[in-house]
Amino acid sequence: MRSITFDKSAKEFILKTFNKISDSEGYIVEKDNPNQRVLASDGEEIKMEEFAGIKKGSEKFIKSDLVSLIKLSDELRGSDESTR
Amino acid sequence: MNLLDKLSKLFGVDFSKLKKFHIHILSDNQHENFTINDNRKIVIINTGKLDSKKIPQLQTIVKDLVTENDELLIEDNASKTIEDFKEVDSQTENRNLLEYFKGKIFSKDIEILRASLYLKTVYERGENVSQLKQDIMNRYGDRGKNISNLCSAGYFTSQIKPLYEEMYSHPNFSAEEFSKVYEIIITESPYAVFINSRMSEKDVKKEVLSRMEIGKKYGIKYLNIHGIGKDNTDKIVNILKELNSELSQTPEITKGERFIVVKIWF
Repeated sequence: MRSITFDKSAKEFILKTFNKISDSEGYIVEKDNPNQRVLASDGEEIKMEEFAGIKKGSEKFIKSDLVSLIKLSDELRGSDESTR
Repeated sequence: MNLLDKLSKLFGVDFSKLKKFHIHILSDNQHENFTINDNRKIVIINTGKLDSKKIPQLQTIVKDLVTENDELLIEDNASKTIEDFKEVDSQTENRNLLEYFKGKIFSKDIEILRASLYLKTVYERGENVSQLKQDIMNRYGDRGKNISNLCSAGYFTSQIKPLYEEMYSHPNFSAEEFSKVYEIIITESPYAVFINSRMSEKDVKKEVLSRMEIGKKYGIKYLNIHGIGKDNTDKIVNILKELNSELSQTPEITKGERFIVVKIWF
């Protein structure tokens, strides 16, 4: 698995890179349309404090909770196996 | 232009000799705008020290890596949790337990059990698990809390698996019958009660008495009271005195540095 890691301190930089910002309630929103909240891979809105990364390809936003990370781990294993 | 050329151009340094390397991004006032360490395997980029005119170039590089090169962009701690989870999840003992229960319990419960086995391992390493516990509860509610409690206390191995085997050994075994009993264990937890820091002594006593009633309903004459931490241990020890008249024999107390388990019979 190839990845780029980032420190908590760089969250804002990462979000800006993908034209996202956080709104007054801490939710990640589109910079060009702050009324549109970004959805995480579980289909729910995602707060800046929960933001753990972006999955390759389709800009899937990842949450930092254990269950989301287990699902991501399974998806990555699946894609690693399929590229072998 | 490939990634190495882009980085060379951005920092004005020749990156062409780097082979397999990993990019880590941070933003502070301490590190240099970039450093290469760990035997030239990690390129650390500090956006806090990067010339503001160069930020858009770096953003383009990062965006291209994710959207075109299919790279995963992940926060450091999350990456460590995933690696740690993979290691714990692949342990034979955990694999065997999950395999054993596949098809015997709901697939959602297998998911919860899998996360709970990770929580159990982290707890046994002496690390703080409150966030992991909260994560399981947030996603799976009370069922998640109950399964992770039962798993942490080893009940899937010591009670539920033997229960299945005992039921299976009977000629008239039915999977539905096991499911019914399993459901009672998960939702009503007749074997065990788990004391948490939000409970007052009065709550603890009330909860224990309620579990004793549930146990009696199912013909179970014992209950394990679990507590972690000094406060919870003290609460359990104190209510034992008050419960004395309800008990049929002397409680069995197992105490460690950070936990207590009291088995009572009634």
